[in-house]
Amino acid sequence: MIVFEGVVKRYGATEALKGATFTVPKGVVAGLLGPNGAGKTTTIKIAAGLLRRDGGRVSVLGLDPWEQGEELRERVGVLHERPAYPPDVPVKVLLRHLAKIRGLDWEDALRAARLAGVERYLDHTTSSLSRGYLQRLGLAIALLGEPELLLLDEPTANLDPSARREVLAAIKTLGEEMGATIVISSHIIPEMEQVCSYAVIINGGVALAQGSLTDLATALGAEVEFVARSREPRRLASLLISEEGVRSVEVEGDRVVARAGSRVRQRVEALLEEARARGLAASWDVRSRSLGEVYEKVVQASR
Amino acid sequence: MRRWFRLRVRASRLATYSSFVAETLGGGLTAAAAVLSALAFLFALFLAPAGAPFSGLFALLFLTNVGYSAIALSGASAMVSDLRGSAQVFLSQPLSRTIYALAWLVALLASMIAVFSALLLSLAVIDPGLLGTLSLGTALAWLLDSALLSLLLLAAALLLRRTSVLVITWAAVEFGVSLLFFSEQLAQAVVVLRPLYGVLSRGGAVDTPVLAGSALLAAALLALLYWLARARLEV
Repeated sequence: MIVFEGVVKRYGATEALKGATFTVPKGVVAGLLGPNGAGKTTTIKIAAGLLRRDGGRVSVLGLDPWEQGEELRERVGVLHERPAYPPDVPVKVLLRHLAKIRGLDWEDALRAARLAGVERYLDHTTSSLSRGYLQRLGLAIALLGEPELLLLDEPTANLDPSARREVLAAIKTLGEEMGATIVISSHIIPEMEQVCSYAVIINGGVALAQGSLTDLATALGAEVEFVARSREPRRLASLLISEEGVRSVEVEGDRVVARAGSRVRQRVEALLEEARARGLAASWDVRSRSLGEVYEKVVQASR
Repeated sequence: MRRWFRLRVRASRLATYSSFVAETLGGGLTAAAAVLSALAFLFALFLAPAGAPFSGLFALLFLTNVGYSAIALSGASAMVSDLRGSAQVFLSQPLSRTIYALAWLVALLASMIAVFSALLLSLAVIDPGLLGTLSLGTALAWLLDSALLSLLLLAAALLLRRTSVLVITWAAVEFGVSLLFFSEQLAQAVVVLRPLYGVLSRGGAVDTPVLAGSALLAAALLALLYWLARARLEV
């Protein structure tokens, strides 16, 4: 879906991207993680065809973003970190025009406004909206035409805690309901942990690590989480806790959540598979809730 | 068929965005064009009793030309502000960089045509005979003169993105070049950039090769604007 190969971008003497190489597969919610100045915004803008790369190769949805930007952006929605809107323009007018550029009608624009939770502010001017609602407006604009790929640059930047929660919940819902691939750039790791299933860690203009959160956690020896459903959750829990390397087990209704170091991942997976074969576990999945640990390990290793 | 469809889609996007520019981003454009048209009418009304002498018509052409140049400057400045602000929101839509730049040009040229049409209408309303004093060559010189300034300002806006540079460019074309007309030799060098001044300084005589040269210069500036948008417009 997104391929960056040795991408270089310079701003005068400053090299923002120094040969960034990574891929983002279709259907994931990917976090583009890194500290301020890592090259996240430049990456998002190059992927959207708003900046020209100085070297390397970029392919997004099979298209070259700089050369085929118009076709690409028919299928992509972009939310900028600090979007600037034309002042004193009613939200309704702005959305209608942007929808028209996409060949959509007012009903489509209204649907996007509802999804982003900005429909009550359609008659307000952009300059009268609070920071949180400007961000929601940006989200509504990004959602116009229900794109296949959403590029969200710091979507929770400058928001208060409740607005952050709402925007994150909206993104999570969009990923699940629309089935779109979503790339979110952020340096706020706990938030990314809530919504992402895939991560690209970038620093100093190079991609340091990439992969699903579980694979990254496994590769870097971080903690992984096993979630199983069972009609006999307590029996399954006692089986899991007896396994060496399993650090904790919790039972929540028919769910059993076990945490373990990634070194014992294969053993626990084998155990759960065996339990499923015997009918003790109805289903199970493995995920990572240790993105912070992964991030720290990757960044430290690069120093 | 597919090519024709894409062309139609692009034309529709150009129309949508240029109307947005005219309505909102360069909102002053429409208002300024309307004010200038009203002024042109009043001035024409003032000239009418004098039996429309050539000098009066020239003054009217000069006034509207200077007035439009101020509109072009304000439009190009609005583009500079947009490039530093909301352009990234629009360019994140399926709007190509060239269509973005052309939309600003279309909005400016639409204002230019509105001002010139208002001038013609004013003359026709006051005395249809006044229209006869305006030759096709003079009208073309007015239109080319204004279009060249618009193209130059928009190219400067795309290339340098500074309002101060636009003001300097505008002042250089509007006053600097005009001053060169005091010297016949220098005037010949710059007349293609200011064809209207060429016509006015020759007492209404239209030099067709100069107009052809101006048209070529306009085409070259249009090509430059297109190239700048395609190759250099990053937001």
